Amino acid sequence: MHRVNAGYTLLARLKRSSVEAAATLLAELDAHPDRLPFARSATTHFATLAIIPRQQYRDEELPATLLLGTSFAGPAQVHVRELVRVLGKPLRELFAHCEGFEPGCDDDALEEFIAAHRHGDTFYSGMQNLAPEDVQRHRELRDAIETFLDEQQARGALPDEPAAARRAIQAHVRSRPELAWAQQPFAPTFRAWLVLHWRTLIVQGILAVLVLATLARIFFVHDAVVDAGVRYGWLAVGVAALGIVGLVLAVREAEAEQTYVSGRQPDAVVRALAATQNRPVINEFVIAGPIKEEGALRPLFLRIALWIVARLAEGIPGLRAGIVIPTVATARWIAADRGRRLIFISNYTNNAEGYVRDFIDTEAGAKNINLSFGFGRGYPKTEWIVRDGAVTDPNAFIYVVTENERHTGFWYGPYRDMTIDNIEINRQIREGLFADLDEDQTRTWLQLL
Amino acid sequence: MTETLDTRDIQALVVRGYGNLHAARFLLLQVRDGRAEQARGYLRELCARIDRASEPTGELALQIAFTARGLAALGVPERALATFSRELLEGMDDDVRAQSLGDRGDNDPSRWEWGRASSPVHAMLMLYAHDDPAFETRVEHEVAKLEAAGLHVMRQQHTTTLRDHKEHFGWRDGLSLPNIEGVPPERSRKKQQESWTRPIKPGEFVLGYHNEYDAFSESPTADPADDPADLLPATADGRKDLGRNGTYLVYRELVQDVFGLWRYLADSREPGRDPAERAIALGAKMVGRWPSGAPLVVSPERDEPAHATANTFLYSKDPAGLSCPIGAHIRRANPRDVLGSGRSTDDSSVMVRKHQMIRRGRPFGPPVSHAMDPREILAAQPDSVRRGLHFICLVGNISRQFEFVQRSWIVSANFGGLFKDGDPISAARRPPGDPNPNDEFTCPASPVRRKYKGMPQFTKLVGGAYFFLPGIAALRFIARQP
Repeated sequence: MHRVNAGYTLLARLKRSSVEAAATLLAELDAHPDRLPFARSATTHFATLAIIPRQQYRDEELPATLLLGTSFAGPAQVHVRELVRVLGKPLRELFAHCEGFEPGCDDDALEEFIAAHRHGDTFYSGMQNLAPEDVQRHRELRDAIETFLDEQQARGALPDEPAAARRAIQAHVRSRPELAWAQQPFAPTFRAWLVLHWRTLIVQGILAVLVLATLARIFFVHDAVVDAGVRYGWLAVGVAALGIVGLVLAVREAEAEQTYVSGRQPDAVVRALAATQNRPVINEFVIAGPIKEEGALRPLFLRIALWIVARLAEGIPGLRAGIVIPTVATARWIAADRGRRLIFISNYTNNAEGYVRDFIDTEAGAKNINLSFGFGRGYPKTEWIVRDGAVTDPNAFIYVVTENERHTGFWYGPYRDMTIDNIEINRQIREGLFADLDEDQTRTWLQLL
Repeated sequence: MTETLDTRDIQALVVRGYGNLHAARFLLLQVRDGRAEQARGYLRELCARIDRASEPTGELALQIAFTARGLAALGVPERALATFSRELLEGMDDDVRAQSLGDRGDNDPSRWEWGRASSPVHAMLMLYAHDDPAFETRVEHEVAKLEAAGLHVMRQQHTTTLRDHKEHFGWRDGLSLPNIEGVPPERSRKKQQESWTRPIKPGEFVLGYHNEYDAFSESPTADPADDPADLLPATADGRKDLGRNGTYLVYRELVQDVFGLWRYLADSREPGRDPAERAIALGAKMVGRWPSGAPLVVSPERDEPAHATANTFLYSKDPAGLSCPIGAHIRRANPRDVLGSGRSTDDSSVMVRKHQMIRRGRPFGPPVSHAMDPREILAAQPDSVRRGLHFICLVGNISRQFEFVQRSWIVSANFGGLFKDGDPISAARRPPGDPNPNDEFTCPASPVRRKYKGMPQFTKLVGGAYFFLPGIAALRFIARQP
């Protein structure tokens, strides 16, 4: 089974009369996390439960919504079945406050409800192709090696020569039966690669076929079907390109009309939120708010932009590696309510303000943020979607984040003492432990310890 | 375009540390109940005596700063007060903030000697002068004036200067101050300090000027109705600019356990060297510089005083920390061009420039060795004399600059991919049983690192507060209220 990381985002409308009751239940679960034992899930890295309040977009009411966002590894169906098996009872209690849910339903119906309410997202994982078990095992491996090194150094028994030192470490790991798994090859499979990139591969495949057909038509194939295919193919590409240009121009016009920009939020509110994100290493937050009201085509553009961001985050096969966000374990953007509401969930290193500032400390970073967050109501005015905004008004960027931050009702985050950097270092230790390394690579690997 | 600082309206501490004035005293003040008007009278008189950045320093230099509680006690209108930064308003002793700063255990505000809400500090008057017998008389005179004006002197914070610009542990200090863009040439130090980066935009340190985002830092304002005398300049949106030419001042009183540090260094089991040499070498690894100030990146093997003030070095040539450990104090406090985590050196430099501070601290207490020679310190008999550092820094944004550095770089056990390492010199250790211990020090070496575990805490925070150091016009405004 592959270990591709993905986000499972469930959005379910709350019954009007149940919003408070759902919030109370979440608070109870948060106070007694053993009632919602995500720790028994082998596929879940992180989980967030929150209530997104009723909000207004133009003259449309965006309903109060229950948000369940998990970061998981492996096939989605396996994850959902596991959630139903492990968390069936508390999930039923929660979903009982949602429209269209039968509280006494069986597991199949519960699974169906979860599947039916899954919402697309733009997901990023800094721990791609790692399962929760890998993260824990890699930590154990590192701890075992560290202890061994400390003991050897205390006795003066560790060889000075790097290759010999590494061989001593290998021998120690081989001598520990509980670490036998560390000798197995560890690399993402071809299937995992396909699972991660299939959407981009379809687009690349279509374009590749079109280019090849065009070349064939120019040089040696004279066939009416190929002719028509090439003609209509390029026509479709042209229409799509024009459509995007049209959308950009429409958004550009809407940018000039923007009137509302977020201001400083009440200190007491900001402090209360900050108090929930004050863990020393990893924290989590949820941002949810309607998008800017100017520009009727914004919802459509938002969804297209997030689709493109998702592909860039995964990486484009043969062209560019995926995005690396050093402070983020997992994050997702959700164009909810048909693109009228933007939701963001992040499991990140640092506290909230430090983390948020990290994004805009470079101009390139601030432009990327404009592309993803710039649609939110109150976000500082952008120019041509990526210019200005957070680049020139960092204070307003902080304000819009705090204005739209929502209280997380329940959070599951098992890696409380490790940054994403630590998790990545541990992965590299495991990958390099029994790999074929030259002298320089051996020295570099030893410095991971 | 380079902005020029309006030095006539700026307190001089922003542009000079008074290194030539060896005597200094910081008076922590409290406005007595019902005496606000008299206190304001003192401030009105003080306006003419405050040392400004535009003037040459006289025999006595005075600087003044206020806490949020102090501004309220002096009658600054609530609607103006609310526009100050949340950090100033909540204070350093706020529980959420203390958690974020890592002020727990021995550093917990509940254990502080001053700075707690129960006995609030309202203002700090800083006096700098030449070290002569007249200084004490001047201080006494000023204290008498303050007390007569209803400004109770809660504490007199004595200071000292140590030989060769050192701090009590024995290392040269104050070597990596940022150069500020826009300081008029006649007011800048005779020779701009050599630096790892070009001058930093003035808005990083002085409110009302462009910062490194090419934007303005959040700055307090007043309602025009509250400024009938028209003391403050107008803002673009029709309010009055209370922040312009002011800055935020962070003050933490740190007691240093000099004997504790040197005992730990001496007890280390480094092979092949005489005890003093190995202790100094390990200390240098922890600090990132040799006692003379020579950086390990420049002089990895031995102390070379010729490089004592070297400050143009970068860490990109030492990515694994084999010369200067990633967890070393100076590398944490200012990571220069290497933030790790796959960031480019250019991005790192740009980001690090947004987390700089102007440090204006001074040591206090007698030195263990007047020569400040590490070998003498090591050989000295332990005493119970209190000595340490008044850590003082100036920033345009407390959260982004001081608090970010403290939380993410100094205290963090995970800085730069480390696992259980807090700053070896200045971090508060997390209490036993804490799930995120920060009491290790990792010293990269070949073939593998050496780890130092169970490190004690060598500095203890005994008090602290956030202050606003106003511009002269803003000081007049504060003195005129209500």
